[in-house]
Amino acid sequence: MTKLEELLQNVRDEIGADLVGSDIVGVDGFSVAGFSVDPNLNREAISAHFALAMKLALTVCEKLNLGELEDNLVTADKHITLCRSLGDGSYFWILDVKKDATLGIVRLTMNDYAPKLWEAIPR
Amino acid sequence: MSLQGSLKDIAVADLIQHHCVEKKTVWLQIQRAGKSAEVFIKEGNVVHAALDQMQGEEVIYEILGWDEGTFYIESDILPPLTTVHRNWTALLLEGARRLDEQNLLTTHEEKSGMAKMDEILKQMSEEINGFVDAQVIGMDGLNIAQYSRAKVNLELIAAQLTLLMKLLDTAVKKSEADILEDNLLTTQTHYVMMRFLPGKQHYLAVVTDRKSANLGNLRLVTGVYLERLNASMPK
Amino acid sequence: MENINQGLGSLVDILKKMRQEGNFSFCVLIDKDGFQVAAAANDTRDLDRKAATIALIQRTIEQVQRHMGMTSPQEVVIFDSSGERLVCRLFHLQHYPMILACILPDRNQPYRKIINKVIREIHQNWKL
Repeated sequence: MTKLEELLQNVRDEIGADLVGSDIVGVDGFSVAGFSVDPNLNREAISAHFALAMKLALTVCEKLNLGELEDNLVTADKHITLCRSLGDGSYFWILDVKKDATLGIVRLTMNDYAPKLWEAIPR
Repeated sequence: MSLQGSLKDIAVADLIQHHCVEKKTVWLQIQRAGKSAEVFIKEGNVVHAALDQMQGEEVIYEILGWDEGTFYIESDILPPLTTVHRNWTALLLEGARRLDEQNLLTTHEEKSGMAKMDEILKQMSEEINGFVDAQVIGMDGLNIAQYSRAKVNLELIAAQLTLLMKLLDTAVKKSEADILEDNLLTTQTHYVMMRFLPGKQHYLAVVTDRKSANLGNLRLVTGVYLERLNASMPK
Repeated sequence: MENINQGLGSLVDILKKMRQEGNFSFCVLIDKDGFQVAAAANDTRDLDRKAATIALIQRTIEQVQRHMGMTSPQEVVIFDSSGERLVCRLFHLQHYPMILACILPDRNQPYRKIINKVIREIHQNWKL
């Protein structure tokens, strides 16, 4: 198990059954690590779309003088997706949780693990 | 002689005016959205008009507002009745006056709906810690209501956030046919909350200062005011 | 973009008064996701973390309700070895589930009367 996979497993343990999927994606849309509880789901394709949205979000924040983007929380009817840029912004971390997850905890967990994940990404 | 065409190419008023000025006798049939009206012009005067159960001048005033549909003209067809007594210029003038009045009313209703939404946003601003700016924005990127406590480029905000909402909507749809409800952007200095109004044609966007805002407050207040904004939407 | 405005000010004032009257070290009103709606605290560090952690109690309560058949559990109290207590009271503000949480430093400190009074005031001051 790589360091990255180990960290993602730790995240999974902390968040528990609320976690539906997780992906670390480069700005090119390619996944470097991740998992999904639903094996039929095309996790990588979905994460690529969210990565694209994050790239746009970065541009929007810059154009509107909103400051440096930290994270984006997308609420849909079935899931909630949290997206966070890692390190210098060359990777994004996309996390999917169930609708009734305690978002405060999920967000804080992401905040705590983001720097560790960045360090663990092979570069 | 017969002629047919589309009301997109020639207005009802022009059809009537032309045949009256030329002192023609024609039967004019106009169809739109399943409805069919007929106008009889005899030697340059509008003599009879009928639409469903309606007859006379009111039919003319009704069809003058039809800007979509088709027309068919046949010459030398005599009217079965006389139900219009006003001369054609007075008919068209009265028709134009009524159309203007109707347009003003619709614009006024829309404007007062929007003014009410501005007021609701202002009330909402008083309940949100760290409030900076709020807008109701259409998915065309244009705002229909706004309230701001800072000098900001509201149009730019509306346009940029809409681009983001559209892309997020696509991303969400790709994941198991989910439906996007709302989005929260967190930056080092701001929160931006974006929540769809029912129907997903418009969304509420609220920008707050991050230091003085808190998320529970922001989510709670925007949730409450979403219902009020929806109730005030111009129809 | 810079502008600061106090919103839902009455809730913050209510909690400040509660903290003073009850001699609590920390009072917070939280939504079901663990986000603060209003807070009054001596130490404002890590308020977000505390709020999010307290919201986990909501999940525990739901499970207790489900598995133990208890109807609408309303209060959870956690003691530590020094006697400090975390009291969490669950209630609904209109249809919004909320947790009012406070930390009592003194093991013998009464709290129920104050918490009941505060919840009543929150309902009365709810203008939205």
